[in-house]
Amino acid sequence: MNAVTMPSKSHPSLVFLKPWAGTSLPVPGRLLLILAFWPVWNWYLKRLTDGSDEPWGLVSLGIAAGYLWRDRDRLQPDRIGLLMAAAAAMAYSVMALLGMPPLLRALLAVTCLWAAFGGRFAPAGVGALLVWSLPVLASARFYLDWPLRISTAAVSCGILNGLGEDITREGTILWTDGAPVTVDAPCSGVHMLWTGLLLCFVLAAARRISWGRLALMMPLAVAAIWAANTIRATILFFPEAGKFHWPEWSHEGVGLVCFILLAVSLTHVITAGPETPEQALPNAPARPGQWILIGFLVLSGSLITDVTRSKPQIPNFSGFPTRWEGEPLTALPLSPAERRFAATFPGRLGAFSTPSGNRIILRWVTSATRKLHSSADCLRSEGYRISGGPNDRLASLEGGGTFQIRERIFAASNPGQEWSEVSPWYWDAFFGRSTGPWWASTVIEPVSP
Amino acid sequence: MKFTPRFRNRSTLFAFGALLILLGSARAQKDDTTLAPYFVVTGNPAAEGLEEPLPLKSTSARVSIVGTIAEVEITQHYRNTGNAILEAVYLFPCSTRAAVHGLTMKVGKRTVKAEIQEKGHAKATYDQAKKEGKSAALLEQLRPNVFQMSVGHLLPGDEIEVILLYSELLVSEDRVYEFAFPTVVGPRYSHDPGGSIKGGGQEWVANPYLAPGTATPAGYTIEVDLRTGLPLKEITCQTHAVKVEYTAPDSAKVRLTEESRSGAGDRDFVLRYRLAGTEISAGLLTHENESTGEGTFLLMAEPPARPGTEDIPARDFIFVLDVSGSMCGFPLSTAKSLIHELAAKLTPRDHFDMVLFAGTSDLLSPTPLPATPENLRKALEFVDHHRAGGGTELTAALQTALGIPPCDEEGISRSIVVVTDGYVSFERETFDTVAGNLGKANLFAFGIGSSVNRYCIEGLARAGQGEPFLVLNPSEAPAMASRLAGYLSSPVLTDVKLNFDGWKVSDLEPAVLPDLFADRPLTMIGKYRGTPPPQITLTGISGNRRVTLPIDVATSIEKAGTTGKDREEIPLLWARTRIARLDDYAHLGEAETVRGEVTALGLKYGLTTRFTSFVAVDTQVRPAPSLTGHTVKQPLPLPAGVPTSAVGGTAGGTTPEPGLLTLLFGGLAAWWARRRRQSTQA
Repeated sequence: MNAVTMPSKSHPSLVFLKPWAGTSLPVPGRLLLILAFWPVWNWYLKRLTDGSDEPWGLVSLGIAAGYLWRDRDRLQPDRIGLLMAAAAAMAYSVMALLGMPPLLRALLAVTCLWAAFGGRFAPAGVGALLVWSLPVLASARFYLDWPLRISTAAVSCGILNGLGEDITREGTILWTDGAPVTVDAPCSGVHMLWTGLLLCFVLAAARRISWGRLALMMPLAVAAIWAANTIRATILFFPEAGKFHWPEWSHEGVGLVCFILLAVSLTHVITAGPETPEQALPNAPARPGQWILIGFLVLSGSLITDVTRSKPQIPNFSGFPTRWEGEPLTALPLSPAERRFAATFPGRLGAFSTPSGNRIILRWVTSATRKLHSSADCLRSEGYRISGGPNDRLASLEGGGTFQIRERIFAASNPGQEWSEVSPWYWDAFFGRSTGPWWASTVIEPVSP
Repeated sequence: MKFTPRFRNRSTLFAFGALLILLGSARAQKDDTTLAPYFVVTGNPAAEGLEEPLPLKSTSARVSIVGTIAEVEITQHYRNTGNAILEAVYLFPCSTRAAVHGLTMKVGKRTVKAEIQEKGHAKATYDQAKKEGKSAALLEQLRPNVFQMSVGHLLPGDEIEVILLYSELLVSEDRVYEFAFPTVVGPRYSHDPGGSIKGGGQEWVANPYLAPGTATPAGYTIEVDLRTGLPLKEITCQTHAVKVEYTAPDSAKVRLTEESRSGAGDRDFVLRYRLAGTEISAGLLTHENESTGEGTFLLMAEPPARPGTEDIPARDFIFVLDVSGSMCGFPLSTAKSLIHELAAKLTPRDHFDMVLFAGTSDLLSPTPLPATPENLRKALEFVDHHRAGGGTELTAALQTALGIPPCDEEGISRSIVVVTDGYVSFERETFDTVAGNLGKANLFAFGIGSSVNRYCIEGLARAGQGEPFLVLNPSEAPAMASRLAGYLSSPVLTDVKLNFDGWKVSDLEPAVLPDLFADRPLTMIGKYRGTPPPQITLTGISGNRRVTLPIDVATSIEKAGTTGKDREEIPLLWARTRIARLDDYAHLGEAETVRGEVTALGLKYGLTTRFTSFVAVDTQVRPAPSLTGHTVKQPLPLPAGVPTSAVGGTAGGTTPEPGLLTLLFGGLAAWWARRRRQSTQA
């Protein structure tokens, strides 16, 4: 293997290839290493195209690519970087063995490649942008939606009462004079959080901010984004409660103004300090054995992923009900997408029809799980256009009619405990406020042909 | 005109932003399709060429009260002014004690008497009739106090009348008789607005309500013919303006004034009357079926006077106050007045706690507090500062109240006081919660408002071995609070027993007479064989002494002013009372086990029950294949004083954040501003 050599800038068109050409692993080898993560890329491509997550990660990927081009001279593998990559590859294999979620495996894949290709000498913001290019929005909604909404509603309630309003809070609903204003799922601030952090990463990449400084800024940025969303929700309470009459577009306008003010503040804070001095380039070249080890670990992980897709063990399932909403159920064969989902679902899944023409999907789980996501995600991946909230969701298929979607999760042993959204259910189940098993029902009712 | 590059940049940026905002705000509007009450806005179908949106044109009630039994005839008049075949569905209330025993349909000049059938069978008969082009009417019981009338195959221009009959026993309290006639079903809160409840049966909850300010075109008239058999002292009606015409010392005719007919159907009609002297209509009424020889009796025994109040024992009160959306405004202010009055009755020896609930419950204190002036002041502030709004999670609130640990002092018994309008669709669940967790406590339920869910209020009190109270307005709060204090100070009679002196009686309802808190006659209804004895003896404990009260059967019948025989309603009332025990207040798990017995009773006595319905089918076939058919649920007015927030279908506002594209634009703008600033500084 060759020792690390500094690239020349005399031939700009070939510069991008030069670091590869001049280091210990030739370009074909590097491509093979990237391809060795095929289950990750396969999953990533599906998530981008099946509609179950919004493909905004491509924006982050595009920006990251731009900065990678800018810092192409600094992408040089060294011994420490490869040790880090080997550790990430090892974790990737273990996670594959344990059947951990693909998002975590994709995170390790990005970490492994980043470290292996000399990312530690590039700005932290670029690495963060690559991580941000993963499909994290749906997961962020699943886990963060409820905590963000409940905290936003609580603080908004306090602010509004402090301003002399007479508000009672009930969960995420603010009541005034008998009228509810709900901090519902589209109000959670997940969009602002994602975009705000994207901006931070872009600025961090532009200013070549170090990982340490970026890590220090993250809590501050998250707090600022949350505060901006809370202020936004508080302002919008007034027109929604009928205190003022603003045009419909003002909602978007208030949100945009709040976000621009936030973005300007973040920009000011992040760009206030001096640029981080560049790290010295490596003087300890990579060893061939390291590349082989990394390749072996990654390949093992990917092969394990494809081999160990076994159905989780389900205890004490007493069968699907025979009637639902007063109607007898007739079992339907699962669609290909449902079969794929059922293969790794930590519970039971069944599809049924009723005499009135409804299609009912029942899921049964015994513990808090990310796998019990909203059926809207699945329907979107089947080509449906989804609109509306949890109680009045509509799914329409071009040329295939419109359907009303009614989703509910309820505790099998406690009929009073019900949720219309997955995030509050997850946290109630996670913290033991509700004990399983739970049924999740999706009633798909034809509205128009 | 020339623009500077800076101006052009900014203009482009703002134009892009405006476009994004417009795109983001162009959201499609949809109807609310959840299983919750909802508002409708109606037009003029004749003018607009639409189907009929308000097929029920009028309701009239003719009430005949003889002695203590009311016979009610309700006539509903439907007309189809639209241009489609119509099925009209109308949700209406009845008294919880009503024995609905007859239905007749008039189509033009044809009169059809309805048959009682098993519920599924009746529905099939009705559907088949519609399919065959025959007009039909179906009367179904959804709750003991909520019924649904479906009138099918109403052709354009058709007028159909349906007449239903029910009987009800009136029982005096504190010597005052009350005839309550509910006119409207209030919007119910369901655990399950999305409609995914297992087993269904909640579909009626999704009933339309007229938008606020919309006058209902369905007129309402009520006429009462009162013949008490004993001289009347006074007749009052606080709920409606009425004209009272005394026709004899013991008789009167009561009817709504012309002015009060408009909008009369948005609240309970409550008529109260008092007899002259201290007597009440008590005694024995009997009926003998000539063909079967089966005799049924109704015994009403006047209790002794309430024993003197020596000392109200110290108690531990848990107040459970409903602050849900339906209680907003007048009901909550009435409820707060009541709580203030009840609090004023507490002594420092008492303990208390409070649970305020809507969608969630707020507890004043984890353990009961001594009723000191300071604690009471804090508690009243706690109540006064709560605003109404949200769902009505009554079961969870009851669980919270029932789970409050007892106060430390021994020998203090607990009273739970629930104050609500009862606008929930899961009444049985609340009854089960109370019955299963009551321990040695008693529960007293106060229904607040102009048209409360009496089934819920009465069922809670029954499950809680207490008493129901109805508070129509704030002025009644002090009297009701005093009445509760009276009940708690000393029950009128406990350990009550009846000695029939060898008379062969069976199938008694109730089988065991409960303790009597209120000053009202003890009522027992059952079967008999043989001639009634001249005297029946009532024994019980009043204050600290056992009392024996002879009931002179012959004399009491004579005083009641009735014949004592041939009251055909008595077997119906017996059957209704038995059905109430078997089904209305049965545990959730028992509902199916009683189906057979309740169905048999319904079919034998011709009563509407949860499992039996009346169905009437026109004899004439009138096909109209060229017309389309529509089902219209008759929109109901909101009960008087009930706010729009009671209707769950109004989702209220939300505060959505901008879309990602808009936010990316915001981020771009901030980044661009930074670049501009840096280049300027450079």
